[in-house]
Amino acid sequence: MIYMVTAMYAEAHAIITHFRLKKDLSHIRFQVFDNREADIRLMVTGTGGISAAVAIADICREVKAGDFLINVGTCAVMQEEAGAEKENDRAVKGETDDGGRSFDRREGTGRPGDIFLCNKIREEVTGRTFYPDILYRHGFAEAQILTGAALYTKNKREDGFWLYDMEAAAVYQAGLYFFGPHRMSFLKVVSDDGNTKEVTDRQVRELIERNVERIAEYVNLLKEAGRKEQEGPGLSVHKPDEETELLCRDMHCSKTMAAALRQCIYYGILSGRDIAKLRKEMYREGVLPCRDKREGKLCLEEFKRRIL
Amino acid sequence: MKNLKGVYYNFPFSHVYVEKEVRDHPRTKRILDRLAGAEVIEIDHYKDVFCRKGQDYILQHRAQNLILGAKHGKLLYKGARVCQSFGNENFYYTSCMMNCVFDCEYCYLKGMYPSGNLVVFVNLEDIFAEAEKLLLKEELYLCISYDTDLPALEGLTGYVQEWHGFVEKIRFSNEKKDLTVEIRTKAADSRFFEEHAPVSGVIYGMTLSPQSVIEAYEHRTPSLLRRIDWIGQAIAKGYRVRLCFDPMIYCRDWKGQYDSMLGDVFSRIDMEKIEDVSVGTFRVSQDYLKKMRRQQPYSAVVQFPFVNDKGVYHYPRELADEMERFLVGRLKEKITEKRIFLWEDEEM
Repeated sequence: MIYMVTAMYAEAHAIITHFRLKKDLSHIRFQVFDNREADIRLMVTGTGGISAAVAIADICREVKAGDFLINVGTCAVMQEEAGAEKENDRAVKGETDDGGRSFDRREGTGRPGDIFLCNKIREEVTGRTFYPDILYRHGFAEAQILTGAALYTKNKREDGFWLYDMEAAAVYQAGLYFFGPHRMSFLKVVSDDGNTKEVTDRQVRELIERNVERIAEYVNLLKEAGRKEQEGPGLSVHKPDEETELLCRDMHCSKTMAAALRQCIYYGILSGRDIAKLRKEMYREGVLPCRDKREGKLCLEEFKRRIL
Repeated sequence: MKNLKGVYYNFPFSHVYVEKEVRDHPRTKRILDRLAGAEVIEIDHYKDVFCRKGQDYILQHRAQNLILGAKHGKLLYKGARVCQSFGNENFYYTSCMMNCVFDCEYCYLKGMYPSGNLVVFVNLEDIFAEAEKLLLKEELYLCISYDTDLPALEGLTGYVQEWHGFVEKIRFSNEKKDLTVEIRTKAADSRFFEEHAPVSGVIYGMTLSPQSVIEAYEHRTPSLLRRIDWIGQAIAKGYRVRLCFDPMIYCRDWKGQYDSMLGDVFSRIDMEKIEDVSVGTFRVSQDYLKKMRRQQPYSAVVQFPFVNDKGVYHYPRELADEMERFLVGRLKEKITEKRIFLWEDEEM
């Protein structure tokens, strides 16, 4: 399942339309939209970190291995200090004074509608920095984002950060209760450079709409990757079958012996041994069932020997 | 973004995290120059990325990223209980890198580190300085490629070359005691010989496993024959080479597989010219194995029903003895016993 969170409905609109999500009316505190077939659920959290964190705690209770969390939203592009703009133009061309690599803004000019995948998130209030893993292929430019508690004002500066939003750091921290850093992505579309009040809902819808195909492509890649990563024989040493439990009973296993037996059977299965045949042989030969725990211990050793 | 071949992951080192402190270090610049297309992200401390909560070692290893940082505090450690000391009293190891580009299912690094990303400490000069301090007092046997595979990353870091230089410097120093460095590896790149001259104080420990074990569990590593070929070339050029049959990995036909491997080794390598040989069956600390099993639920090699002795998991004593006895017995046909080092833990 792909869990998507946006702060505002306007940010969600294009995604809802693209993936044909339907409103789930069972949720009363937040707007939730999903499409079970597409395996996507989207939540509109409301603006700000606390709303985002509460919404994630609410929606992510049923998260399974292989699921992802994607925060899609708009952001402001932070203004640069005098002279920095010129420096960045050089950085885009790969030029630096010392001939080394630039650590700063290297691509994307931060015009309205430009989309970025965030590889570094700093919470302005605490100064804490978070690094979502960027393991999966994507076609976005990458950037670092500062998350503040209030709307962006043009005098704010943070070295190396040039995107600004109000949710990413909270989404990361709340999301970490349910997802690893490799399962969270932060896609931010530039909407303004501090003139937030002039940005209309309609403009926000259009900015996301402009990027929805690329977002969808990324969502589909994550879905496929997540599915592949969970493929496997579906076995677990912690979920023994009925026949293993019968063996435990017939060997009079203590808890320790039972754990050893389960590990042994699990290894046998992974190594391609025919466990059913082996078990039948031992019953046929009269080695099983055992009369007591002492006999069971010897039987367990014999079972191990045959498995190896 | 197109995913035509089911490739979901970024290329290795697509992202490089660089500690602020080493941003201008010459080694940082050199490494970044070699990774022209990588996204560079500045960090305060390598642990900010390497020690994050909730990481997935296995997935990170599929799209391994690089962290460049500086190592502080203690830089040289006394050898651990599960390591072979080869009779050396002053046995130390150091980690100028953490993690490996190879992907061996049984590797203890999977249990030891919270992240699959690779850390390179660029302040080698500090490690050299600490080694020099120790060398004023005593001889030193130093393993530098335990928690990584240095030669596998030589094209990126050039660290083997730097260690060669350091060992040579010590050799010609009158004040310092002897230094012997061991470089454990599975890399078998013959281009290595074009750029590195043999150094008498450096021993290359090539780990060898049967081809079936390599195919099943040692992903992305060179084949047995390539490793053997590399050893042959190394000996011919005057390198000191140690053969490491450690860890020996159990499989049902282990005797046949190890016998066949030794057949290949003996027929292609002049065993008289081998420095020495190390033998030991797989063992790992219980904490590491617990994590390795959780991460690799379908890996037979880590799901083996090991025996736990005082916190170390190993094969049942009888089996381990039989495997080691067999290998040592075969090796003794070609090499004197005193050059065979069998790992034994007296406490087990």
